[in-house]
Amino acid sequence: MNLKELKELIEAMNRSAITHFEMEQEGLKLSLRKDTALQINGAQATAMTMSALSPAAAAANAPIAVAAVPIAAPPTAPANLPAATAMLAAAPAAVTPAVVTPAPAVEEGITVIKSPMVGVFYEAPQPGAPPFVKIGDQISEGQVLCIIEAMKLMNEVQAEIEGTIVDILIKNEEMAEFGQPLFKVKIK
Amino acid sequence: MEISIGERQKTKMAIYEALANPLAGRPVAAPAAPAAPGEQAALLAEMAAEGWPVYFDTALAQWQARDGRRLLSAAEIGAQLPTKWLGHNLLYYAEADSTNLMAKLCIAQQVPRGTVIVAEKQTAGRGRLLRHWVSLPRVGLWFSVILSPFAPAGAALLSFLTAVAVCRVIREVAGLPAVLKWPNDVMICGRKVCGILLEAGSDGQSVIVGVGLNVSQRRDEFPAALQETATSLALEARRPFDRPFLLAAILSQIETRVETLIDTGSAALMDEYRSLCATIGKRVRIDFPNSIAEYGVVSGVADSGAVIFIPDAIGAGGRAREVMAGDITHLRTQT
Repeated sequence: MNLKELKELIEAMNRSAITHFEMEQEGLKLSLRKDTALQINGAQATAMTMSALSPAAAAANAPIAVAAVPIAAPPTAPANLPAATAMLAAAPAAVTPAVVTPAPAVEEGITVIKSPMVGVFYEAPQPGAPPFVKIGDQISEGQVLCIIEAMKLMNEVQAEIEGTIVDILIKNEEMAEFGQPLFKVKIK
Repeated sequence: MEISIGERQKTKMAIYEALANPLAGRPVAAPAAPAAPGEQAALLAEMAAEGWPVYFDTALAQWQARDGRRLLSAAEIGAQLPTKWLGHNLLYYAEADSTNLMAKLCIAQQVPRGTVIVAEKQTAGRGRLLRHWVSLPRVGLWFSVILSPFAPAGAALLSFLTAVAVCRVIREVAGLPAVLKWPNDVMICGRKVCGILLEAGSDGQSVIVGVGLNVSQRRDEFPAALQETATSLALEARRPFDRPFLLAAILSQIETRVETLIDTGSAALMDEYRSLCATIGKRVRIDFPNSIAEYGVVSGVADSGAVIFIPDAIGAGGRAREVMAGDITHLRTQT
């Protein structure tokens, strides 16, 4: 499956009433889920067309959460996998132009934690305080890693996995786009 | 700048004092303009609708004054809640670290939608970036509302929604010229009367809306550093307010707007926000999170909620851009 096909699939799903779609093909398992709850994806959030809050519009514009996982992940991981991940980050950008950082190449045992919304990245609970996490820190599930703020909405990003912070991909007090990679974590 | 107090309010104040003094044991002040009994009842009814601490006691068949600084109670607030769902699960604490923190714990226990947490006193009330929020007992409303389902990316709108709701109540109930400073500070005559801080719930769909509204503080009850920048409803209106009445009114306004937002989208909300937002058209300084300050003019607020900022032309500057986070200071226009 190439990027164009994947994009078509996402668009077709966006237009349809289907909320969940799964397929397996050539070492790639694809799962598409459309969230009908009140969600606005990052690119739209930049323009934040809140018409998307009406149920009808929400159904039409709801972001599609996509998970692409390699089946039995062979060492020679499918070359199209990182590209697919990048595509998923870029897909919402088709709606509204936005700066989308390409997802870094997938590494063995490494996961990337992304920003849940557009906003300012804070590494610490208040200016001058020690950061929530540093490179090399062990993190556990539910641990607060950073805060993303937009218009006085503070969003604590929590770890959903156990592991070690191997890289922080954004500087304190910089703008984060929706889906922008924030941390690289080596999974325990 | 001060708001002028009319003769009508002087009469109301005299009526309130006359009712309240026997309870408080204070000397009776001579009414400025004694109202005739029939007129007095009409004025009292008006006062009740304006949030004065007065009520009609049906058992005694007479009007009574309350102490505007009495302690809150969940029962009293619940008895006058006009809402359909918001605040029906109301948790009252005599003291809490912060109501937003209590709300976080509540979300972990899956409390019902529209749960409201009220504290008489916050020991660690805080604003953005853990800035301290002074929350003494008896003089303010310190509460958090749990709303869902709102994903983090869409929840920032609730920031404006809450600010609009509080601003409306202050205008309609207290009759004060409240306006909004972007994004969600409620201001009266250039001083902050209400702060709002939102936090995304850890369940990914709840949003905690924390509100601190200064109701009854005297000037000397604010810390010295805040005396010029903070104010209370009682200070501005120069009369007492009843906190349960105000809370019920605010929750009602929030509920109505949340329903409209879900049913018809954000257009009406953002229009109302713009109509109340005093930042639009102002010369401002924006202190950005990275400690850089910029001067310019705010030309509007986008549908996203971002301010449209036209920086003063320096070098490549002067081009309008959208700003989503930062501290805005309104500057006086040079004359």
